[in-house]
Amino acid sequence: MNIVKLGVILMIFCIVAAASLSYVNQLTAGEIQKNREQREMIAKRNLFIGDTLDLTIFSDGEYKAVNPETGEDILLFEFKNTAILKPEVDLGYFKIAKKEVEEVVKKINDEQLLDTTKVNEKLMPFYKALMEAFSSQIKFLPQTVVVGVFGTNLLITEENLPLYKALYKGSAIYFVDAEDKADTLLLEKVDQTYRKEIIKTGSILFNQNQSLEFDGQVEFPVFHYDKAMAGNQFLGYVIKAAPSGYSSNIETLIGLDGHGKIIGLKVVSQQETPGLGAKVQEDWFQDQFKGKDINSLYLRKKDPKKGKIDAITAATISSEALTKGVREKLTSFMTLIKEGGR
Amino acid sequence: MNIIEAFKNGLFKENPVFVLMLGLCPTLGVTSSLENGLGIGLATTFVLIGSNLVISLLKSVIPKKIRIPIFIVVIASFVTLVDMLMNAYFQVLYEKLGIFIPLIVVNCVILGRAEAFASKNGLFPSFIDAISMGAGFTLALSLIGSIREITGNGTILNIYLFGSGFEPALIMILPPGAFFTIGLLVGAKKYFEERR
Repeated sequence: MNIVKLGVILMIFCIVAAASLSYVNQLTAGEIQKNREQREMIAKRNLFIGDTLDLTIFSDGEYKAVNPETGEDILLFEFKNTAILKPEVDLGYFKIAKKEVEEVVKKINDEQLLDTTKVNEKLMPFYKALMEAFSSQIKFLPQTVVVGVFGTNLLITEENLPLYKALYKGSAIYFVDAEDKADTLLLEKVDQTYRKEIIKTGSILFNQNQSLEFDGQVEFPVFHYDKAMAGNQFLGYVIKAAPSGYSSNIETLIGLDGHGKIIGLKVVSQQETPGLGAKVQEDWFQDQFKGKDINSLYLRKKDPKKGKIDAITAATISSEALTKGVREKLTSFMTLIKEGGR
Repeated sequence: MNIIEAFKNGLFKENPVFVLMLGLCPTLGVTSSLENGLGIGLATTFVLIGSNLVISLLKSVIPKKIRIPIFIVVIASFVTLVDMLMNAYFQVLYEKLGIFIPLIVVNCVILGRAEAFASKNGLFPSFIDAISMGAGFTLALSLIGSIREITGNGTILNIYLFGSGFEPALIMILPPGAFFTIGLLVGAKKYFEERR
């Protein structure tokens, strides 16, 4: 009897503790997220301008820099969140699909077809063939198929925007261009209106084994990065890397110029060994990356010829992890950007 | 309870690290520099005050037989609450102490004081006990941290003490260095106590 009573008391304590924890968690979750985003924003901003500038938060994602001496605005800059399709979709069946899509799109472009019904007519044979190819691979056939078109010459211009709209909406096939070469603004318009919908619908992933997977929950395999803009002037890119170090993922922001040279690097969060690996967050270590590109992102002690990065004493694993992580991320990003036509 | 006596107790006679040998895990792991030692010391003090107060308040409703699991539940939830609230509303403080908070969730100094003191004493004595024990813990960790940072890295609070020719004894900031330092400090303490 006594043991039951004690058990009940312990349960009550646990329930009260759990309830208060979940209450406080709800209370603070938003604030914590906000703080985290703000910290990240400040870190991103600091990649491009020195910490010496006095900055005030202008609005979401936009910053106004104020010169502390004159009090004048010097820079107004913002980060545009951009996404690019990852190259792993460019494998297997996708290659066939890509080629055929290119052909169809070329036909459409040549014949200046802007009418939805005609577009669908043109696409139907292709769509059928695609479906047949897919159905042998996947058991569950989705109503809508998302086809990633990466690196094709699908230019979005004022003239063919209606065509895109038609394709996105009217057809059972969605076309997603990786990144437009001609007009970013228009692409973003399409993006905002349609891509969200596409991601909700689900996507088909093409993996290394050339098999297909479909999952309504799967996010579009995209590489997220930020474009730093001051007005119309392009300042550079910000990409994220989170290589796994000795005891944690070293979350890092990397600022790049248009040619893939590192403008700044900032470790935003890590839980490496204090006093050793945690030194990746120290300025002297992070500043070593400034001005380097993928060719010199090696540790000096491991690769004396190429290496330009000094490892932290007694923390080679963390130093190597970060250097390698940044190099790999940079390599794949630069390939994407080049293939995307930039 | 005499406040001065309580502080003497926390700092020297029953110093949690050098005498009670409590909380050795963070002591060994995090004290590679003065800044880290001070940081975890202060964070522990902060949590210790809170947990001692809570346990002292709840002591009459906690059945003796299951007090340890209840202490753990209370302390772990309290630490998690502090962590979340600090992260949400005290950013500056959180940036300095935040990384240490999860490390002290089940620090045995805190459990030890809850068991040995707060569960038997009133609110005010428990508060004093928490401050004095926290001070003793902070002092010990700062001391170990300074010694390891000076010998193992040649710096104190990230300021270089010696010229560029100085070759720091790397082993001191690695885990064995913590054992050496604690051993030597405990030995020195005993030596002076016996001479007195």
